Amino acid sequence: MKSIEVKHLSYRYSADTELVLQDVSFNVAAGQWIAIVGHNGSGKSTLTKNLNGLLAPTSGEVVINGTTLTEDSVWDIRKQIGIVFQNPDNQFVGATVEDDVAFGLENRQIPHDEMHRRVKKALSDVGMADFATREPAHLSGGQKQRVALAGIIAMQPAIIILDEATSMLDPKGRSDVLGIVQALQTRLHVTVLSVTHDLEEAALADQILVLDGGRLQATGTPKEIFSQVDLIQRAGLTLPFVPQLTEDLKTSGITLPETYLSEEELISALWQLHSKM
Amino acid sequence: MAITFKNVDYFYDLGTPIATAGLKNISLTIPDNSYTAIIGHTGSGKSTLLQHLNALLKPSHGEVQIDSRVITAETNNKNLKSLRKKVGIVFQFAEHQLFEETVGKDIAFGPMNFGATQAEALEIAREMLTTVGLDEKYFDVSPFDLSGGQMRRVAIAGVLALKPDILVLDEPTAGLDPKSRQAMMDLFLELHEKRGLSIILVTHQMDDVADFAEHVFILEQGQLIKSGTPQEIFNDYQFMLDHGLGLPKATQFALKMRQQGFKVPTLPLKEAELVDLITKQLTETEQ
Repeated sequence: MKSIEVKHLSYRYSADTELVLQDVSFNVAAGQWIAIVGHNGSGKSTLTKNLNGLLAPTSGEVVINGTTLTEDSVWDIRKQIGIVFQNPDNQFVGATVEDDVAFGLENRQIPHDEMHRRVKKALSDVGMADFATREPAHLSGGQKQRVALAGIIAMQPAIIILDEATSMLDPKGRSDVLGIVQALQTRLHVTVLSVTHDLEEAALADQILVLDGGRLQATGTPKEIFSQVDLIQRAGLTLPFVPQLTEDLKTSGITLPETYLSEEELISALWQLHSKM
Repeated sequence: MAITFKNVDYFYDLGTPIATAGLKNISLTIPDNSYTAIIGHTGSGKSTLLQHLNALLKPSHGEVQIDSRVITAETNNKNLKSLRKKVGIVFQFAEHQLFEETVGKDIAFGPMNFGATQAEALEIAREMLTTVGLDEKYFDVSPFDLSGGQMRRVAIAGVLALKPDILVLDEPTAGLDPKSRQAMMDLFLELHEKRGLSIILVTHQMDDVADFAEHVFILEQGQLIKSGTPQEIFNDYQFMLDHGLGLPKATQFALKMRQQGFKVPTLPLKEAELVDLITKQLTETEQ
């Protein structure tokens, strides 16, 4: 089943300005992880806002789980989408961690017992159960993003959007958050859409969409995208370490048949070359 | 201009029941015209140490010598202004500190505070805008109409406008896209190499430590637990891993190659060194 369908989407902020999204079309199957990559100003955020109805398309349409996004359907559709934003400090409303996770559930008038159960479960899913009664302000950046994620998991959305959700975190916080999202995707079969300029994060996706100047420049698996060095450069991005190393080794005369994503893949390819000599 | 810490302790809320140690017995020297990295986890004392570099905080015990000035617990808060001009600190997410109507006025704020006339200050501001790689057309624009990366450049220009000898940078590239990140690290290197500024960089990125720093200090729970050149500290990779600090990507890759059976005599820190190592391995066996 298709989770997200975007059909010929164009968007401009006002009638006398240029289009910031131009004829963007793509589909995401339920349970897939998709990454939208591009530099600052490429149109990524505008696209995200069109997906949950914070902005309405100038032309074209967005279909979420089979329902076209309109003024009437927007409230139902928003129930199916949870977004983790960039700045961990801008997404807290509760005085304690558990209050914060409960906020969305209270808004939807989930019965009290059910609410407690879901909050507890969500906090343990993100490894923050021990922090339930702490003040959010005293947590590290990575812990804050995990709490934000718990607030979303508790709502049981079909789609989770990570809007540059890891770009302000230190390496440890980043890998913690991404590890949790990966585990959730596998276990709950949620669709994940990560909007990022970090291609190491994008490497986790099933599909990558490259956005530049408001247009979709390419779609493909991480391997397909990372083998197109020119495309990456034109889009103002930098290759992750392993594909970059592969490219540089090729340049210095080593014959490698493909693009590798993980250290292990590349090392075993190098070992094979080494053994043949 | 060098900075020396001698047996520095710092306590938050000293003299109260909730006194907590921020720094414990720190002794170190940051030489003139150097590029230094300070690393450690959140809460390790990095920010407390930074604030001692221009006497925003004064040691509870011990002394900090900045150029020829000695700062101790007894130092009077007056007459520290000249010191603050020499050591410019760019705090994390410095763009949050912009406040003026135009980019030019924001950059000029510092020099005017230190006694420059408006005309002089605006002239310095114009020069600094180009130094940080922004086009002059932004001079009369509101800083709030710029992108995050551009705003951060304006904030850095504001610190550079005081013509400091030492530039202290707390996680200066956090949250920036790869292109802006690279441009910003290049800018700091240029300021160091061409204008002789000392750079003190607080970072979580071990690749930046490997690529740029000449010397590294590692803090944990308020204490200096290790110092050395990047080569020295990353050669002790087990120590870095045990303390949860991580390694440069090239070093990590080379360690995995070693496990696989490759010969890795010296650990590479940079990608170019790793490419060399692999190329040699694969061509030498051929002969």
